[in-house]
Amino acid sequence: MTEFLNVEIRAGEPVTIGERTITPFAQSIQVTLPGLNGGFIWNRPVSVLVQSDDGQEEVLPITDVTRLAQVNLIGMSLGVIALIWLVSRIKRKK
Amino acid sequence: MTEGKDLTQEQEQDDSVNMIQETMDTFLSAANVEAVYGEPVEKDDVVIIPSAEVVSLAGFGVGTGYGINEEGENGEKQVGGGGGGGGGGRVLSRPVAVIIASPDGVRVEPVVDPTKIALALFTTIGFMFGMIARMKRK
Repeated sequence: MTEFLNVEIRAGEPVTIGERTITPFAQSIQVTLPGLNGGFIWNRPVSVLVQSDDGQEEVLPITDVTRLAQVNLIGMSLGVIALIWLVSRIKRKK
Repeated sequence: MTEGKDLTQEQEQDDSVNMIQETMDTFLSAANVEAVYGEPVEKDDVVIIPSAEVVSLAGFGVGTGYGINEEGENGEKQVGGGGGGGGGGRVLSRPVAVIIASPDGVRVEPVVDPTKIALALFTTIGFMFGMIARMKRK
């Protein structure tokens, strides 16, 4: 059977467009529960490698703006709640 | 006689395990780059490669059971058996960005989902107000 947790970054098939070759990269997180028949796979794009014919290489990261906004909102709310809790606790002590 | 039926039971269990293994292998084969990046679309000198986040969940189970009645009507052993299985899964996909290759260069354009951001915002605001109200009650 497979491992419990497997994190990999894999390269896809390069695509040649004119003078450039684009190689996509994706991250795969696989969770298979031992003893239970089931699992979870999360694939997401990570970056692309752009190679020119003159030898130049550039890595372009792929940012998930939507996910970033969601995480920031949740983080902000938890931070505000923690701050309010702390302030109220300090006031009670006084 | 009993040995023959035990072998059949073992064989069926092996078949079930093999089926589970094959299904899990098929499920795990979804963890590849082709699932994330789509086919390039060409228009004039511009090529667009879409990318998406793909989440796959699957779970299933198989069971078999046998019972042996030592004495039947004619004093013979009676064997009864049964089996069953079930499973489920879901695949979720969401666009993340598009890679645009043109004669001017290659760039990555993110795909922004305002609906999801708005939902997260309202959930966050509701959660904050709820927690603040709860803290004030105490």
